Amino acid sequence: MIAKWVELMRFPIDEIWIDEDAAEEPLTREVCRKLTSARVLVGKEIAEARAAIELEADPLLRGKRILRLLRHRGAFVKPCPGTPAYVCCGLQIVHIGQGCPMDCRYCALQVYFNRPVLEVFVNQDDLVRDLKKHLDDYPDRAHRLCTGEFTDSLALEPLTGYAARLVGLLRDTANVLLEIKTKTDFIAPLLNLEPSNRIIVSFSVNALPVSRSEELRATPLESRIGAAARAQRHGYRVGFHFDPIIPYSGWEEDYFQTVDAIFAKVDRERIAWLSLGVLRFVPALKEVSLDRFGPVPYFHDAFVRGLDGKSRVTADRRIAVYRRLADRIRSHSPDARIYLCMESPYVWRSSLGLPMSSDADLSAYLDEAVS
Amino acid sequence: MNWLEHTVTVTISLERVRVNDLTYEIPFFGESKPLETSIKCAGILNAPVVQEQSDGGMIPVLGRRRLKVAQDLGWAEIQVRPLPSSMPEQDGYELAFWDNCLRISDSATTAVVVNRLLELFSKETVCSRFLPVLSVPPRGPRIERLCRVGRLERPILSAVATGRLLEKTAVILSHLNSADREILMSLVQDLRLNANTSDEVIAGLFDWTVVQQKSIGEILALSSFGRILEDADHPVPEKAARFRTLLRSYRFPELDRREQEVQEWVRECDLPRDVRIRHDHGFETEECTIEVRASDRVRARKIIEALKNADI
Repeated sequence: MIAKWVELMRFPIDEIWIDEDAAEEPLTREVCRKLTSARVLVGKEIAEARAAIELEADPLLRGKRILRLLRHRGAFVKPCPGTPAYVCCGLQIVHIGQGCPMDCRYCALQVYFNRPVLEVFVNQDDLVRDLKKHLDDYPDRAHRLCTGEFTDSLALEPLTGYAARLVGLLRDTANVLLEIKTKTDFIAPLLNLEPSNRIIVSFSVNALPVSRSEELRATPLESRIGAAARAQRHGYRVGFHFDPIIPYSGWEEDYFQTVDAIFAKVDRERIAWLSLGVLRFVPALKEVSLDRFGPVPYFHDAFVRGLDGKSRVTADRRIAVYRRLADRIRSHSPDARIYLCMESPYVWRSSLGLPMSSDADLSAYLDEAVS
Repeated sequence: MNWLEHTVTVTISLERVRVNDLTYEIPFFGESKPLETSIKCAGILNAPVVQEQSDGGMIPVLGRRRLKVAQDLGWAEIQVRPLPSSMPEQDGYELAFWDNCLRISDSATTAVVVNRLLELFSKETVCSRFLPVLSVPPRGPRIERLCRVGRLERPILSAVATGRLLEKTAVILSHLNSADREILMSLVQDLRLNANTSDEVIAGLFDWTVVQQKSIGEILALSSFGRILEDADHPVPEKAARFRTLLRSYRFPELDRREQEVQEWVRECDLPRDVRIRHDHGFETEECTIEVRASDRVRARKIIEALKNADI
């Protein structure tokens, strides 16, 4: 109970905005019951508060302490917004909400949404219905689902219980794999559930100096790795995402330390996969970051326009980074399932020595990891 | 309250007017010559509006340029409509704003005005009353960026207003100190760069200073840059091109190296005169584009047939 209270306090919420048609949802009542100190706004008050927040110099910062509860009206299951220019993993996003209470300086979400507040979709029953229908519509397909693309999978778990509910729902579905991706250590609710091979608890990790200076309000790296070890001991398989890798001068030693720390605490046999992705971003993110944080050195590195229009360091440099990190990972776990996020067949071949010419190839490669 | 309804036209000594006072300034970055010609021909048709000061002086509210031209022309007296010193600054600036709003069209003037409005009024008031007139979105990052630009030195603002510098370049300059800004403005002037190439050079140097944790002055003190900038034997456009190439090679050393490798390889290939090879942009893949020029369609057909029959 105390642990849960501490988790709630980690991301303090000052205001709850409740959309009119979301007021009667059970999850709305549950969130309000837990956040007794937050000011609740409805109707016209929300419009006024929204206008006020838009006038702030940094609406995103303010928005991280505001939780909007609303009904999601679109599809709850969507393909990951990858790009045809690079090989994508075919992940499907289960849309539980959007926005993140953490404030990583490199975070793409800063330019992704036009609403600065945290949003939780409270029509959970609709989500479950939509998800079941999606799975019924494609019974022969292997589904890799993830809740951690537009938000952190567990950051608001103490309030919403979304992850636990989805684990309960999907844990025994043969052709489904649910990845819960987080930068927190809020895994306690998952430890109360029977583990399943169909559930991957994965952690975004980084070099310690990056984690300390850039991942504002995220759980310390060591605690994330500790949480991974606990999840694994409970019986879950875990994943690690080195994304974004920031190739600053001296990056290798720092990232190697993180790799070593993971393998010192976590059983390599129970790691489903590790992904690698060197920092890439839509050009607007650099401007937003400059506005919010002033000059952040890595955004001013030698970026060129990639095939998808995003700013990327040159393929040569990315290949060198992936090669070095993959070698380090393989020194601990020769058979580790390492994959690259949004890279070309050329980079795959040159860095990992793997022929990965299409999205289908990569999907098959990852599905194989959990079959 | 409409302050203008309470004014009468009086003649005063022009010496009493502090034309350089910026309290109610809506800047104008254009030429004053046409106004001077007009005043010479027809005089001042509408008396400028000024505000009395407690020390007996007066400051311009409306018609600053008319006052300035009159002063330059050596007028001793001028007809003005004085407003009382009790008029709040907000009211005076609002008068100036509405009087000039139709000509606040360039980014620099807009930036100075938005910055000043935000000094005088609440953001809510500025966003709801003034920004729609200026076609500035009442929310989003542009407001803050305009404020940053609005605080820049006049030569930079003038360059933005006259299209020699892009607004986004001015935003970058706003993140540098004034000494570095001055150096960069001199640089783009000396190299006679246009707005786009100025942006390329300023953004490139800014990025590099952030990465290297050095000032613009320190970066440009590198002897390789110095040799180009001090070179008096070559025309300026050539110097500018060399400067940009050198900067690019520092900023993107991997690309530069790969490009040189490809150039070397192409030389070794000893290509026929009509054939060119281009590597994939940015070396994201290993793809190359081979371009073959044909003098006519008959020759083009022959080349295509030869390619079809080649064992590739």
